[in-house]
Amino acid sequence: MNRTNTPAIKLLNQIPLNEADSIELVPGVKAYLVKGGKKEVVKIQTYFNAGRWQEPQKLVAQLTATMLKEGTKNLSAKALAEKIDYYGATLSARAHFDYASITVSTMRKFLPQVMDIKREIIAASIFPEKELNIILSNLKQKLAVLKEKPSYLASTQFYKSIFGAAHPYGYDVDVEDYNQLSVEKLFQFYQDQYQSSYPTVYISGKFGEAEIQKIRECYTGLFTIKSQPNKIVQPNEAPYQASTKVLYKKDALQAAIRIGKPIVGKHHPDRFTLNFLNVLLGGYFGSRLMSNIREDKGYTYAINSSISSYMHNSYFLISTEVGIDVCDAALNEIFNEIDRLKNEPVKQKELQLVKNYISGALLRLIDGPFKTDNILKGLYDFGLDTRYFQAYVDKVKHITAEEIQQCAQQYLNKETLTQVIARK
Amino acid sequence: MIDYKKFKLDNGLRLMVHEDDSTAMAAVNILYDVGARDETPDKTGFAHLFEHLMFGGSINVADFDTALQAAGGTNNAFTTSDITNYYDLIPAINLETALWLESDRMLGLDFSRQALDVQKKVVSEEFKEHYLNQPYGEVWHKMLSMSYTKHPYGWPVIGKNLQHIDNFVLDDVKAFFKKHYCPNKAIITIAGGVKTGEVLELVKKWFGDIPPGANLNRQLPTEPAQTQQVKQQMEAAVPLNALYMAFKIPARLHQNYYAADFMSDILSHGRSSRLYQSLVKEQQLFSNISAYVTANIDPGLLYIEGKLHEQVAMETAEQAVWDELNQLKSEHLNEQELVKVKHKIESHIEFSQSKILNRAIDLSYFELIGDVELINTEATCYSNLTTKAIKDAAEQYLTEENACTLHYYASQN
Repeated sequence: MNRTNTPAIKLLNQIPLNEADSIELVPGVKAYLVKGGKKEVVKIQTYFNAGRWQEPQKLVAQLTATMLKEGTKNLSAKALAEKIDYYGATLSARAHFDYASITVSTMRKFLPQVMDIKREIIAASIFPEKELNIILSNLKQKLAVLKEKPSYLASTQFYKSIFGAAHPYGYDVDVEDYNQLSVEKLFQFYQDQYQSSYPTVYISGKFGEAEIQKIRECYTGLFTIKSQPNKIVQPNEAPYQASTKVLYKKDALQAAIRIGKPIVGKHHPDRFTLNFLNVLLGGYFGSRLMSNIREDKGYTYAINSSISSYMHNSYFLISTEVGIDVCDAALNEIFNEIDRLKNEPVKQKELQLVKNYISGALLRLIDGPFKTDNILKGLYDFGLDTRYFQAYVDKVKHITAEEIQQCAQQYLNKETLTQVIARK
Repeated sequence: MIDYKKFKLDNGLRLMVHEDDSTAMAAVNILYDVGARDETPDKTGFAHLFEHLMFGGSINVADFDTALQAAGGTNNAFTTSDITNYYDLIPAINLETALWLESDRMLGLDFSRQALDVQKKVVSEEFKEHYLNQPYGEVWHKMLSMSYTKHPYGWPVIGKNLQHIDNFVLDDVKAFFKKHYCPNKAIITIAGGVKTGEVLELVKKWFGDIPPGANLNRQLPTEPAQTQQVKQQMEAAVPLNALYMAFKIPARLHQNYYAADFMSDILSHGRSSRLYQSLVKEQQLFSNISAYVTANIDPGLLYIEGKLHEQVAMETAEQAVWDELNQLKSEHLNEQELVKVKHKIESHIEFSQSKILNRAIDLSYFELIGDVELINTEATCYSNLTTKAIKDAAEQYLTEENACTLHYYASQN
């Protein structure tokens, strides 16, 4: 066997992402249908205008979502949990920056029963005070544990630094913030944002007409739209200014490092190049940062960079935990790698490697209905469609070393980057 | 129903192929029959450190990751007490690249001092990140050493301490590779948008000429039966008191394993589970509490861990847990709860197996433990359980003399 005769790499000609079918489930409520998969399982995700962006005060969105599992007119918190568990389903209700979601995952055979429970939650949650008090007390304890972790301290400070302490994306949580909540405030938010505003639905997995019909029934008559929608008071955004902050945590064995800045959104013409640049720098295992700081120096278990987009802002972030004694050396190397991107064009071989890697990664991202639904949502939320995805596929094929270098020069200047370090 | 074909090459390598034409990806999973239980007490953490070294280059491949990524693939690996498992996810058209790479590192590593030194540091940082730089991070070490006096499950996969990691030398690496990394101790599963005939030919092509290793006569120390409760307490700079309990349960292939696992689900799977409803919601003694089993090939543990509310005395909290456990012994489950937990398990398996990678990992693992058909029959092992089987298991395993208990106190300063 001649092992030097290695298999030729085949390039992906196409990365087929189909548009989801969309239907009007009930008047005002759009549903996207993402069919596929081998197993008889279905996920129904419903997105409400009930995230941090819409909340009247800190934590209202998070706690409202949490309280959706704590009881309805007909079902106590315990009965609700019993029912969901009885059908082997899972129910999650979470608030995010821009929206809140209620997701049920169920075996297809129990979809009708599980959808009845979901309807009950949207239609008739009652927010019992007793349950809220238990949850708040447990969350306070959890917060005390989190605040012992350098990684938590660094991350929360980073968002505060780049978005501002009063911004919905930036605020930090203190025990006192939990004390400002009441069932009245949460219930009001529930009425305003869950029941008086149209959600968007994603149905993914294995399902047919019968399931769609059942889901349709469950959403019928749930939403009463106010003629005057609640005015959302947008926070006064101070212009971004880079800053450096060091937090001290007694006895920390590792330093948590966060470096980044707000960055252009999905619609900006430079965004594809930035995405590519991010992968090259820290977006995959073979990235510049991993190769240097983990694989060559052994300073860390992991280092990565990412770009995240939300409806009202996007950010770039480098994130790692390193040994205390090598914290300064690691910081130097991070900035060396950024400088190298600015000063030298990426060589052909590495450029081709990253192109191939991204193509494979995109194929993985659309493998199966429970991944495709997220990718499509990330397009539709921003008024985009699969043409945008294909345009990125195309850009990855044709991008040049010069474009990447120029992009690094434009966006990765040290003085524009915010640094947060939590250490001993 | 998951279809698969099973083959064995002349050198002992076992191959499982599972076709799924709904995906353009292929998952390649290689399980090596070696884990932390194969280490000696003075050299712990090596199976896991070795997993890192498998990415440091092999005879004909300077850099595993780069070559795989250039073909659009990604990969990772994990080590447990029982196995070391490597997997690649790659566009199916480039399956052969993954086989070339995996076969080359099975054939032989490019042992370098530098790669060893770097990975020792990386693993030390992993050790700190997950165990030392975390509140409660040291507990796992403590509980395992309390639970096992002889068997190598007495130390965690990461190793007993940083010193052990630091002590390894290149000769250790070479000897370990020779002993454990050979085709007759590996099981490869390929799942996804592939054709069985083509896969078999490619696997023969790349793996067929790798010589088998000497058979391993594994003789692990048997853990003596525990006869009385092991109790310890300690204090650390953490915000809340915590309670940890571990009960010995049977091995993965023992007939009572499923009942033991089922008990952990009754106690803690889902929000309607007993510990959450009773101890978090009704009595409000804990801010969170959970139970799970270590699904080990040798006898494992049913583990309970919870963080106490500030004003609650440790003894009160522990007694409340015992009350829940005793209830499993004194009363049969009602039919509703039995069915509920069965549905939970069925659903969990269905969702897990909706991913090709999980199917590939499961096929390799079930083949290792002796019955690959468990991929299709394991759900039945749970659905056949009776209320009597659960009650019997509770009486047998959830006893004081079978328990290790750790009271973990938040220091006052």
